[in-house]
Amino acid sequence: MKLRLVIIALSLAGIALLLALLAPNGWNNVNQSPRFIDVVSLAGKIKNREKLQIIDLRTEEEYSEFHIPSAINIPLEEWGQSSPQNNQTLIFYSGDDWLARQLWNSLTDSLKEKSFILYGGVHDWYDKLLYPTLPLNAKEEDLELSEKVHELCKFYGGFAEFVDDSLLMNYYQMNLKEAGWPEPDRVVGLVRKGC
Amino acid sequence: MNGPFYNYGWIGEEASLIFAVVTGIAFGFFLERAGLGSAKKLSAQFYLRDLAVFKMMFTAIITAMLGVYFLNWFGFLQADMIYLTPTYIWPQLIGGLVFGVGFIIGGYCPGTSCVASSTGSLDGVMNVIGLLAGILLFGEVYPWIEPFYTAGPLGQITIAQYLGLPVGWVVFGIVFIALAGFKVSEHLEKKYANA
Repeated sequence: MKLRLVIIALSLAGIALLLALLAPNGWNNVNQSPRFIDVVSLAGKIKNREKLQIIDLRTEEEYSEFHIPSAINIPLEEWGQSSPQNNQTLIFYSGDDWLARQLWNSLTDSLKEKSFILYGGVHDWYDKLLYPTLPLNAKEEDLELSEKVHELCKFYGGFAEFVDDSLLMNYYQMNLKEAGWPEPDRVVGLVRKGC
Repeated sequence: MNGPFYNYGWIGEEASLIFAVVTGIAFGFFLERAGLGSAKKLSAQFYLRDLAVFKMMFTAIITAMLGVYFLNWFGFLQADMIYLTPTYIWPQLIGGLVFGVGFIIGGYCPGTSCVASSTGSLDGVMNVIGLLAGILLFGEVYPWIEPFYTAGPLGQITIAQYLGLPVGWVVFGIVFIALAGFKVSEHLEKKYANA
């Protein structure tokens, strides 16, 4: 076994170990998970008319087809030219968080401090809030949350489907502080409609 | 430009298939050049006479692993976007066992049987025919074995996630294990060379 190659391999591995200890989130924290907000919390904040700026990063066409109530449209490529200048909390979303992920990596630290990414984007708003599938006989500990989701669903004009599956509430109880970027659902082509 | 290119939309379905073809050609080329188109060389590892396959594969693993780690650390590659084959403990354990038995009986693994076939080796061709027959048989019996096929699901999980360790630590550990393995394999080869 050549000593030089062993030294190179061990050195690289040692550097990896050091980097994991000293900078676990990568160069300039490039891999740091963003601050997520779930669809239920956002729906509650919109309903309560809290001061937020919700920004849809998709194209104008996709925004026109469907968007979250009170969201404004700033396509990703136009971000920077027309970014909001106020001090409100910013909530970014796209389809399956693809565009949101690209945007997050380009935000300054000061902007990141007042920004959130909507977990699952407009697709989760649609599937998990507007037209959710909820458990028919929710467990006692899940009942309050299930009823909250159903109330918000009706408030925004959607309707819920009820099936006998107690695991359905797992999504709504996810700890987003420990969550990574959601996996996109590739139904047709690269991503579902709108990225 | 961030990777994976396919996930970020830099390349489409067609281009990704071209990438796959080019990568496949390169893989087959280097397997053959490394002598892995020979059943004698492949089966010699099971008798501990020639562990070139073990050394070659593990070298490829640690090279790719270090590359992915550092590219991810610098932000050029989003490693969490790379598709991972889901883990199902029991079928993959049994499948590995069946694979090992088939390897020593046939003298080839699926990839190297294609490599051997491409050089005109008849036993390679027979292995490929057996491989295709096995795939067809699997497809026919799948409805009956599906419960076992999905037994012990762990999802798309990495060693680091399973152990709850930082990725850099796991990288160091695997490189260390690989180098130790190379040293041990050289010792075994000397011991069993004439067995």
